[in-house]
Amino acid sequence: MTDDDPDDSGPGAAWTTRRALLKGAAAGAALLGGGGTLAAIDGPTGIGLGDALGDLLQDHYLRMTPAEIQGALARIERQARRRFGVTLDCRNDPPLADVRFGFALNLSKCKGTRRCVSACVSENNCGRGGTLQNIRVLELPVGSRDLQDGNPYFTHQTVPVAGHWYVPVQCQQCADPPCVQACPVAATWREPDGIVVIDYDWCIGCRYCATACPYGARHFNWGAPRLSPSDLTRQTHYLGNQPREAGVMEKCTFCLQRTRRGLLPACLEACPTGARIFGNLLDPESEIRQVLARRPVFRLKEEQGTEPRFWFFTDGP
Amino acid sequence: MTPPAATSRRPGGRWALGLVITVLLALMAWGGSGYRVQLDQGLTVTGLTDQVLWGLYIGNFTFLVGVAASAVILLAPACLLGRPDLRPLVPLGEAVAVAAVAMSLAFVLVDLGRPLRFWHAVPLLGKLNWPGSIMAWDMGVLLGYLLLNLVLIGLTLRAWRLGREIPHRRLAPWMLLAVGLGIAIHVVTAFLLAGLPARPLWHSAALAPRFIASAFAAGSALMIVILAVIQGVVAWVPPPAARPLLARMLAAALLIDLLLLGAEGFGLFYPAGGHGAALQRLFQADPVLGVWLTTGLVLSGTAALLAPLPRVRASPWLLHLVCVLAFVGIWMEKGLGLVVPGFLPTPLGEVATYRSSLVEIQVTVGIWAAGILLFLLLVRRVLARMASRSG
Amino acid sequence: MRWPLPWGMVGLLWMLLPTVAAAAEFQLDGPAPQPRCAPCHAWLDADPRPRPLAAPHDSLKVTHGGEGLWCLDCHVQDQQESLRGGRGAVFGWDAAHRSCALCHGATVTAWQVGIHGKRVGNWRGPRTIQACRSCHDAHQPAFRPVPPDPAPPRSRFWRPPSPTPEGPP
Repeated sequence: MTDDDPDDSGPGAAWTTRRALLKGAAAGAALLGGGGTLAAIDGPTGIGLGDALGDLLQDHYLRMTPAEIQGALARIERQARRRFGVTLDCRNDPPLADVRFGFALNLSKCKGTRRCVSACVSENNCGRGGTLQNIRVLELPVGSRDLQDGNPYFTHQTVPVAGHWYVPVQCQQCADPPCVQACPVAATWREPDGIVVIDYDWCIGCRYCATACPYGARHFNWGAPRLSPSDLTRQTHYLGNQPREAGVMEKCTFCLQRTRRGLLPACLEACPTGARIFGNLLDPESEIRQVLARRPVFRLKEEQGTEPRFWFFTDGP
Repeated sequence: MTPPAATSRRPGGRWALGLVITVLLALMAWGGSGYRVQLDQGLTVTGLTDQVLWGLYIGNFTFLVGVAASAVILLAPACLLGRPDLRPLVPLGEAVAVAAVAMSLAFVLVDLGRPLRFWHAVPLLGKLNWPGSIMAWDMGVLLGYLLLNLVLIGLTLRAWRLGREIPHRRLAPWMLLAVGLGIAIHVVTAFLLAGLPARPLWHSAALAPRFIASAFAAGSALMIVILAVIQGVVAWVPPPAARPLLARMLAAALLIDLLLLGAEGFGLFYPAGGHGAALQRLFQADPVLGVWLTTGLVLSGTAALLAPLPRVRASPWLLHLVCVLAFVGIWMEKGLGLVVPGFLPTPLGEVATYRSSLVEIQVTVGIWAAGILLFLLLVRRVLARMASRSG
Repeated sequence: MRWPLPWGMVGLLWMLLPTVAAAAEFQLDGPAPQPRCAPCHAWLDADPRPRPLAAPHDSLKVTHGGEGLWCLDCHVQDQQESLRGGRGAVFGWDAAHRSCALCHGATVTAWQVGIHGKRVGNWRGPRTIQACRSCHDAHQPAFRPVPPDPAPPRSRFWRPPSPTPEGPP
């Protein structure tokens, strides 16, 4: 079950030539602006040209030095101030040691309230009123477990509706994720804690990962997300809910800005029926391991061989 | 650019060329204005959605990679199979390859959400996910094929300029590599789609051979028409063996393509539980998509039935009709007709569809215009050299 | 029998307590119960005989267990802050799940290990566990239908699913 070792595409593979080239480009850009560093082009209230160049020339997350990452976090905070007038706290909490996250969902309990969807949108700074939602709640007729019969657009006065049941689908955090394999520029990878993340500042927006995903779990920002300053969740993570821009992919990260600090994901806390269960797969006492040990579980589209870390189960009669 | 050589025999030929170039430049400007809107507002201005992630751009990409790949059908016999009489065609094939690869790369670039980050895919400078990602392979072989063809065409032109014979013996290994890469770019492009179990329509072992067959068909059809146009416009007469050979290749490729298509259709629609039922659901929900795909299949199917008849191939008029049918039909079924239904119904069972937006059409027309212009400029040089050599 | 006054005071205190500490490694979370028996049964004897509840109990709707349950299957006569467990044991509200376990043993076990019920706050370290009553009204335990949050916007190219001729029953 916990056989998965994330591949160690660690930060050790930096090329000096490439670094020199990047540094040269950055220095050139800084010279154009007449400042010492890219950020200095703007000063505290500039139009953001320096930060735009910094964003463009920024290195891959796994290849940045700690100082470069701090610079990137500071740039994200500056850009949020410029874009929303809001002071964010953008962090870079590393994966916790001896932790691999897993999720389970009790289908007997899900009533289709979509509280998880709303909480997810709000926690993860997704655009409001847009099509981009990282959880889709499918309504299925009783007697069918074929996702092709699912309807995510149900609008009832109240739920649940007799003769139907509900399957929320989000990123299944596969141990063998086809999206990671697909990405041409390695902008997405599986972290040691099992969460498949995206470097939003490295993604080129080709959408091949979303094409490869059998769960429809990856979503593209066709335009810039519509967010008002009051909508923003200010506690953010570089790989999690930092505000996204147009032209990049995003996905569920099990709210790593929360879960890496010991908190439960937002969808779980919002669920009014307690259908969602989250925990550390490496801890035999954890809730998720109890589910795996005591309930007959299944995963979506297991025949695809993606080894999801998201299980579904039902209560008995 | 050197001033155009006196290749044009017809009065007003230069005027005609000037007019064509002007029109192409105007179309490019129109495309450029569309792309500016897309850069400004993002891909929201396209008809693409969460459900259909790729459309006109990638549809043209898959088609044009095929056209580029098929240029090898002109290299292979001339250089490797002992047909020196066909050697004058080689630079033409290379020009087609260069223009088509450049166009396909342009179609990928305009499809990107963050085009300025293209450098992330440049080896050493960026971080290419190689060998894992088929897209990374595709970028690699496409760039390699583009560079190799540019070098080959450059060497040929240089030899002619210096009044030397083309060093065929020395070039042969590189030609062989070009033939290999030509097959590779299209096989890899097929694998790009076929390697995804999440998309049952594409997830088929027959996709790669089908791509090669349809590419050879579209490529030879294009070549026949290009040769006829050149012959009609300038003094140069192509080798007499070229046309019948290309026509036979067209017929063979079309028949193989038809067979593979039929096999795919059987696998999809015969089993009750297959993906065919989902596709039927899609075509019921959006008849336009069904009509588009059917039209493409009918056009290329008609060409496949006509091309094997010797009488058809003997008549220039009928042969050119078959070429146009094949080219347009394959563009329809292998472009949008393959890409869009591949996304539908979505993995979660939604049925949506896709309509190209004006911006997408603008950009597409602009890239085609640019590609045709590039081809014209390359071919003009090639023809000028050949004319000066023979004259 | 009469309700001794101090017990009524304790009952009132329970109403004010938001959470109940139950064990060292976890915390129970949920609204405190609000028994409404005291005003009358502080001075009026309760009739222990099972019967359909009529006035003045008609505001008290009990659907739990269908016809099969009577008040005193869970409640303890004259001790409104106590609940009945197995083998005649009596518990306070903080151990209400033991009363639930009389019938729902497997569910309560599942709740204890984290399969059933809702937890908030941490996924590691001290857990905050919601008590049975924070989701289930003991008298009408079924989930009450609620309005769903808004549906996602449809793609502009969305197509309605064609009706399947022979769907599942």
